[in-house]
Amino acid sequence: MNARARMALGALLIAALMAPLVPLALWSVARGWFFPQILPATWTFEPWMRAFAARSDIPGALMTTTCIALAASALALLLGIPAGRALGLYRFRGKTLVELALLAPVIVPGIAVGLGIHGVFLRLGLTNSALGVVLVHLVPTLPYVVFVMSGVFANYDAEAEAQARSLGAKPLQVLWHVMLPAIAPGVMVAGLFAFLVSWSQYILTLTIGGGRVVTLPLLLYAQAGAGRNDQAGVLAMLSLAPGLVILALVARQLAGRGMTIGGTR
Amino acid sequence: MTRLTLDTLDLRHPGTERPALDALSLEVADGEMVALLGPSGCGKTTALRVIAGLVAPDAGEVRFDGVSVGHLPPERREAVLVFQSGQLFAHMDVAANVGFGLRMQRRPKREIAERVAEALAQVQLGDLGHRRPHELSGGQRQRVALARALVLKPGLLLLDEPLSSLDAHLRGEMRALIRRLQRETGITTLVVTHDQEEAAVLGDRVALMLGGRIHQIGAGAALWNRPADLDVARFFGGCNFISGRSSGGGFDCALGRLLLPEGAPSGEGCLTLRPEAIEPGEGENALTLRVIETRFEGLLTRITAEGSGLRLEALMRAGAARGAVPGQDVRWRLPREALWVLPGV
Repeated sequence: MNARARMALGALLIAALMAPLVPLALWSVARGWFFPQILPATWTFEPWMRAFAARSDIPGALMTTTCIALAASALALLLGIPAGRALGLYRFRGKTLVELALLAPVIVPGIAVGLGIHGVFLRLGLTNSALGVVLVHLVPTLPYVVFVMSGVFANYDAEAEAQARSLGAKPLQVLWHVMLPAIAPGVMVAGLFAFLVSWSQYILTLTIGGGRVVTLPLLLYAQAGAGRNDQAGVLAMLSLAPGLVILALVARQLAGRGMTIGGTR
Repeated sequence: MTRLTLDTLDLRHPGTERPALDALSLEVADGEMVALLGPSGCGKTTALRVIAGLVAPDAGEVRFDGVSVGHLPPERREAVLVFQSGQLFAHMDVAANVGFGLRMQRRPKREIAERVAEALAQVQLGDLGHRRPHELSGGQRQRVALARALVLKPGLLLLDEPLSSLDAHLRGEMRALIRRLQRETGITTLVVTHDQEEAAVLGDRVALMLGGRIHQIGAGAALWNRPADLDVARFFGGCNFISGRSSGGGFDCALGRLLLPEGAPSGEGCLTLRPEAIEPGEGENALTLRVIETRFEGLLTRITAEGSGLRLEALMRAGAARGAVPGQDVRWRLPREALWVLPGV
């Protein structure tokens, strides 16, 4: 395939992926956009103004979503890095089983998982709280982190740590000065994945948060369901933002330098 | 600097038949360089890791200057292990790699910079401080790894196959460098190698390790010419073993009575003789043998000959080997000083 054909195909792919987003973007800046019109009759920033007005619950939801996503991805990294290390570095009996079990939350429908966990969290008093939502977000985020990290650790040479110990580094110093710098690119990718997965959770947030913990996806569904296309458009654009920012940040890592994720060898 | 004592170390890796270390004992004097020689899988690297504190032995004790260090973690031992692969930290430049140990000790920045510069100069890499490990050649990487250990002024330096990843001409250079630095600094050094020549050149003494324990320790020449047992002789390429009886400075066997060097053990035993020690011609211990086979091996030719039902193998240079044609008789001399008796075999 020559370069021009490849370029055209790429452009087509991008267009096909971006096209559904165009109406959403337009809705967020339209006033009165009805069927036969191809473009809105009047343009306005009013939906955006309203979204960030004093009485709107969007700024609060934005804050909640960000904090929950940050907390969930931090927690997922905290648990997922050691787990990924064990899976990547060591061979042990039943390893395949563990890997399969880790995949389970990705396969099992979220609603089933959510309802099951709801019963447990109810007894623990974790329902209707942000903490409960953060914890339940580990269900979809942790597998991503564990799998990314186990891949990173499969290319990691733990002998570097032994060398560092022999050169006088204490265990924590080894962790900080040897292991973390070596796996940093992988940690970043895993963390960003976890952030995005948590950011876009709907079912789990709704079941465990019980409507008290309001995140952007919850508002988005509500507004879309109520036919408020302008607000839904604003919310959709806001939901897209971190993904685009993250993509811009890690594009180089994912594409050009993808081969070097966490490699010390 | 530090005297190293290994006292009957035992270690068995889980799930393996043979022990990695089998009552291993070794004494390395203060300031001495001992080469720990052995085939791969004989436990020599394991021994280094035990000394460095990275692996705990099942039994036995490691002592530095007579004091047990069994309870000390690796970072608090006087020993620094330089890994076979060099193990440079890829995310640090050369200077940061060399300064790593000092940074871990939280030394002042100025002192670190000075000592790093000094160590890099020692290994002749003074101007490469800002390079990244991947920009270095194999030999340079190995030298950085060496500098990174030397900068800490350790009491004991443990080198794991420091030359194995280098090509031949670099190897000689690096060998000389290690030898010179060890002399200059006087750091007690234990160097592990599978290469006999390397062991002989590097070590003040050579310790031959087979199957997890030291079979013989001494000057290089002693191990070659005066092996303590059959395994040692075999390891050094010995291939001529003749059973018989040693008494009164002579050895009686199927080939007749051969004269032995002074100090050879007496009694029932096995006569051993290195293949390259056999010379063509007349003289003491001369024999008539029939050539069976000759095999060209580059610089030397390996000749198998038979006499009185015994086979002898000789390695000879092209000139000396010219007379040997399969099926013909040759006169070979077994020089007295090249003979040795392994008692009780």
